[in-house]
Amino acid sequence: MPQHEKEPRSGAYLRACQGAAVFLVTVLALVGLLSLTLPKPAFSEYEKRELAAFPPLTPQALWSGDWMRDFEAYYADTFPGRDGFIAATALLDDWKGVRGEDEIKIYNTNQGGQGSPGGEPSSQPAAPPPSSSSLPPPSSSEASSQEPSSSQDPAPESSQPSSASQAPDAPPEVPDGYLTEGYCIVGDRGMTLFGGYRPVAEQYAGILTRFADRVKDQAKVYNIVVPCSGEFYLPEKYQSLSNSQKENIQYLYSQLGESVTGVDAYSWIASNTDKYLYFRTDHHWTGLGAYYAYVAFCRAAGLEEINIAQVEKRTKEGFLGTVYNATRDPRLEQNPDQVDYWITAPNATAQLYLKGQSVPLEVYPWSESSAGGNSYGVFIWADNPLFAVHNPDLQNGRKALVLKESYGNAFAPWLFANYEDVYVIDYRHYEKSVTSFVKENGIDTVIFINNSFAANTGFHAQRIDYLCNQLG
Amino acid sequence: MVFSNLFFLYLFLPANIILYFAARSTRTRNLIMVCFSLFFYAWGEPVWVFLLIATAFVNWLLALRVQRHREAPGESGPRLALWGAVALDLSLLVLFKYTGFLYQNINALFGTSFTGPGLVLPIGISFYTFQIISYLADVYRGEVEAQPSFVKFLMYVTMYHQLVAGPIVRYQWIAREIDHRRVDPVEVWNGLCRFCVGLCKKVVVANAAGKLAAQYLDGDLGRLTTAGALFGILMFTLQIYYDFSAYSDMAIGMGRVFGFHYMENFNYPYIARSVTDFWRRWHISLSTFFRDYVYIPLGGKYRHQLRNICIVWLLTGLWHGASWNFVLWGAWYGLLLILEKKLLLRLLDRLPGFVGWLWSFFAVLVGWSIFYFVDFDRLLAFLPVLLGGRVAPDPGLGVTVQNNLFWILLSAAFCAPVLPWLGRLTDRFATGERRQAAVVAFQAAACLLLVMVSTAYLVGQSYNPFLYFRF
Repeated sequence: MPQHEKEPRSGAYLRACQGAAVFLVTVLALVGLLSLTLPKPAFSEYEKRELAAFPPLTPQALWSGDWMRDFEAYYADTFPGRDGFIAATALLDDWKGVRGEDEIKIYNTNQGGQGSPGGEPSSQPAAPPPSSSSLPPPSSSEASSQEPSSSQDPAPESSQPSSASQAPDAPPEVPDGYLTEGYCIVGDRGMTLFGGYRPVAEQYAGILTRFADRVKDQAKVYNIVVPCSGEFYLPEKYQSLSNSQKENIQYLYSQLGESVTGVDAYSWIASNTDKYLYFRTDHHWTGLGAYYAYVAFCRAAGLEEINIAQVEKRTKEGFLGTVYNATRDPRLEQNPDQVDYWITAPNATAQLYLKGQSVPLEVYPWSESSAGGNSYGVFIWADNPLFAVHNPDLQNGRKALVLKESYGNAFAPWLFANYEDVYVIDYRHYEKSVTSFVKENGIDTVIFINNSFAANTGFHAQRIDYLCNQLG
Repeated sequence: MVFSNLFFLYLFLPANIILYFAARSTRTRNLIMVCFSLFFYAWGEPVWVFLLIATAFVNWLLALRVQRHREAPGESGPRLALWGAVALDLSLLVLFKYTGFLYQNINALFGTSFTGPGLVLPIGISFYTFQIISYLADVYRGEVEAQPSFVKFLMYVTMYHQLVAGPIVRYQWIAREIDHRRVDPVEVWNGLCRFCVGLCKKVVVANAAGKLAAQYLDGDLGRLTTAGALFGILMFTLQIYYDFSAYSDMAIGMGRVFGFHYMENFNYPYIARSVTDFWRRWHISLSTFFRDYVYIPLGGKYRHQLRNICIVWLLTGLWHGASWNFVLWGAWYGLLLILEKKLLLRLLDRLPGFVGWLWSFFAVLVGWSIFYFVDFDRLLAFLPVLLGGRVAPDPGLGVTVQNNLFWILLSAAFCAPVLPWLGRLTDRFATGERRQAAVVAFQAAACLLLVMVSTAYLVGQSYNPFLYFRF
């Protein structure tokens, strides 16, 4: 039988207990009341997403319990002071420990594996893990809806991603992301940790080769795999946290057929790492980093590269990017990035094809309204199915197609200086045959450009295969 | 619904407390508790709430029948009614919890491919089934009078504090409080404090420990170092204690707010100096249930003790989940307890307490490894690594420990009875009226802080940024 405690019971003590209980319950009730009566935001500037809406009340939704789950998501999404509470967790997490003399902090977003040396990680299966087939619901505790994302299997019972695949005739889903081993912050620089997976790299190389073979009579195909910043800026004693991107890229290139020319962007970047080639708060490279890959491409393609010193440079300040968004790390917040972009074709015009729309928008090739956390969007208006740029100052009839994920955004503008027409397809959002596109538009150069994470992520390779070969 | 949830914390609980204390009579208060409990359960189980009500109703009727027959000596009626009710309750438990497991084993054994009914396990069925069985047995033994009012019995069975995650509350402990309980500000306040501590344990410690554990235990075990394996299982050790004991804290705390006194379910199990001691401190309401309703009725230590221990630990394992690893986990403890009873306890008594602690903690770590890995292949890959099979530098682990150093040290420290020690220290300080009131004010500030920190993390769970805005 439980024992009832005996406390000394003076009048003041009783009154204090009563007052404290009333106080605490009143605070809870008042916050609860405010949570019901305050205006509900529909959009979060902080997270850049639509917040969960009040779920429609239907007997089916009630009976299945979906309504309750949706309501909880809505309630959490619209809770009073939400942004402040989220900011507080970043601070509280920072107080949990120290960063040591190396000023290092790891955010392991990958619940399915740890960044340790050697071997191929099982967290990067050739087929997409089940969790990759759809975006997590707004109530999901993981912050992972866009790139980079990670495989997340919180329940011990489902710790191993299965190789369940989709129906054979369905286009592969691409959840706008690729698999990472997490984030590492060293000082004020954030880096993604590389896993790498040779079978996917092989698959990727094979898909590109098959495509190049199909279009070889018309277009020359180039492949650029771009290393991410962890390769160069992770302190030596922590190199083992991340697998070697150099080895992985070399292996991938060795698997390419003769019809694909591998562009050695790695060496150009590696010999210029003292410059501002990568953002510190974002997983992307800068326009300058992309320039070195462009130089490597020009050398491989026999083109003359534009002299960067003679190109007008513009800058956007105050950029806090994806690594900051995923980690809310205070060190990153204290030192935002800047986004430099170069006007490589001052008179160029562009057509922007938004997802689900067949009529393009006529736009300036650089989205100069992009600001703050979206500043990387200044390059070719971020990620869209198709972006077509015409440079009237060139009459060479050259036409290039760039097939890319977001690393290609900073790269594509450099090509405006060499090609009369540059088409940029984001294969994650484009829905038609790329082979047909190449033939119908008289493309003479096709450039695949992906960062090393994307080139090692199964669902990227499968999507490229679907657009280039299966739909072809 | 769970307790660590914004809707529960800011709408459900305050509404329940305010309405409860606004009501004057115990009868109205009981009705309020039944309504809130059914709403709580239906929120998570809109279908199975009817099963819960039906189960309660049938058992309420059968318990009355057991009692009626008991009052007429010499009849076999009470025994029949008791076993009928117990069989019904256990059948439902087996149907929902173990059917899939049975099908799986039959298929594996005979190479068949039968598919089970695919029933979803109703939340809390393991807990409320055992509560009902304890009630029936107590009525049968004459230790308690059957509850004549269905509403009151329904309140006992469905009370949301303990419905989902225990502790297993016996009817006889709260029988009196169902009809006679008084509002005591000290109890209410202490209950609220206990709830806040439990909430913080769950949200700030258990959830974070779970993430760290998964980081090391769910990945490629072929790459795991011994240090990583140890860290991973230590994090799971923290997670399971903080998670489970947090729910018990919140349940006990809420019980006190509403005038009910539930049994303590945990007594700092990780300071145990033997495995026997560990099981006196871990999930006490379950181990005492098995002791009183299985072990002793089977003969206890007087008749077939070894058999009785085996049965109890087989059932303990199976109760935790329908999977062979839980059976193995039960067998592991059954074996250790027999070993201690026959040999080790006498030896441990003569050795310094630290040795006993080391032994017990090692046994618990291996136990949690068995508990964690449902897949035997993964367990067999993990255990050799944990036991020193891959001693290698692990710089990532070093950084993770460093990044969480204060949190790890505090979480480990609070596995020991630090809070009772602080309580005794405060009692020594708080001798006068004013000092006592000052302590309460301090507690109020601390509780508010704990709630705010927990809220931040609960809100943070829904943080789901779109890293690139689409135009």
